[in-house]
Amino acid sequence: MRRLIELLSELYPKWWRERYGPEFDALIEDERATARVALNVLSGAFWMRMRTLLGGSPRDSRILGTLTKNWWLLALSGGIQAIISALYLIMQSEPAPLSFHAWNSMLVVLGRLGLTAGACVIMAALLASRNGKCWLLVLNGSALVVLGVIELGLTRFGVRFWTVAMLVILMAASTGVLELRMAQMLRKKGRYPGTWILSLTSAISVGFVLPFLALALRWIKIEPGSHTDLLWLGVYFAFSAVSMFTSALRLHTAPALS
Amino acid sequence: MTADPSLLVLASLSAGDKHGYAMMDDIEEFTGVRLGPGTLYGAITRLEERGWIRPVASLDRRKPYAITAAGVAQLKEEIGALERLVKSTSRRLKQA
Repeated sequence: MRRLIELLSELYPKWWRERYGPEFDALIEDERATARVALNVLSGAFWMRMRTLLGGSPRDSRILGTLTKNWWLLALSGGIQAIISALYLIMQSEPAPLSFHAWNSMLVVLGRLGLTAGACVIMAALLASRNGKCWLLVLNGSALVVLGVIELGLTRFGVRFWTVAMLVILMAASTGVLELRMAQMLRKKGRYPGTWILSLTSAISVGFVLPFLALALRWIKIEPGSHTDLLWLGVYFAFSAVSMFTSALRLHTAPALS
Repeated sequence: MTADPSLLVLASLSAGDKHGYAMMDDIEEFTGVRLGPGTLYGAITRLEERGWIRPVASLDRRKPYAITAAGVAQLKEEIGALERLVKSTSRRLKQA
């Protein structure tokens, strides 16, 4: 029975074992080895894993600490993404087709803005992070940087919309998961009002995966000259800008985490 | 008796620093309930995160814990709430 209890104690999350493992093992050695104790250790490990999954580990606290410090970079990226959105919407609403030169110039501007916004997001995830680097945000920023690079060289490489859609899916999914975890963590840390907004933007962000998947797989047809793709990109970046601002403001008003 | 394990740990530490096994013995003595190791360390993890207890430096693997000033304030608040509950329930029972 004692061996079983020792094995069950290994089921605790890694961060918890690193912090409490030796003293917990000492306690198990001192305590009588019964089936009741084995069951108690098993349920303890299960709940600690659930807690970790819902954003309760010290690492999550450190990640939130990093984002709290760098909230202004997220806000800056949100501002740039608002401009990107406006440009996409202007491009799709032009009644007359843009000249090749004008189209090319717009793409260069979009590419540069994408690179800058992506760099801001990556810096927000890594700057002054110590052990709390936010890899989900690095993924998001990297996708934005790649989109910027594609836009800068689109006419040269002839990249299909499928690639762009996949990058947006990556951005939407990473933002959605991150915001959900942020909302859970802020709720656990204390009573910060308005975390429901983060949960809502998280759900909408994940919701954007579907239309872009439909566009990528051509379940939604893009008629030649319709610019449906630009409209969707414009709508997505408008939402992403709002989402970044919401996250930035939420983090800025959570001083206990900084 | 059933009570929140965190409250029992705070109550135990209010009488002095203790390691896990000593806390289990102490809690069993004043409540008649022996907490399991998983329950005890779940409570210790929560209390330490909230800054209500802190580990005391020790060379032994059996690490002792001490209650902090914030922990004492929390314990007083919870005891106050329990006292109000006891008083009002006793009054209602007398009226019944």
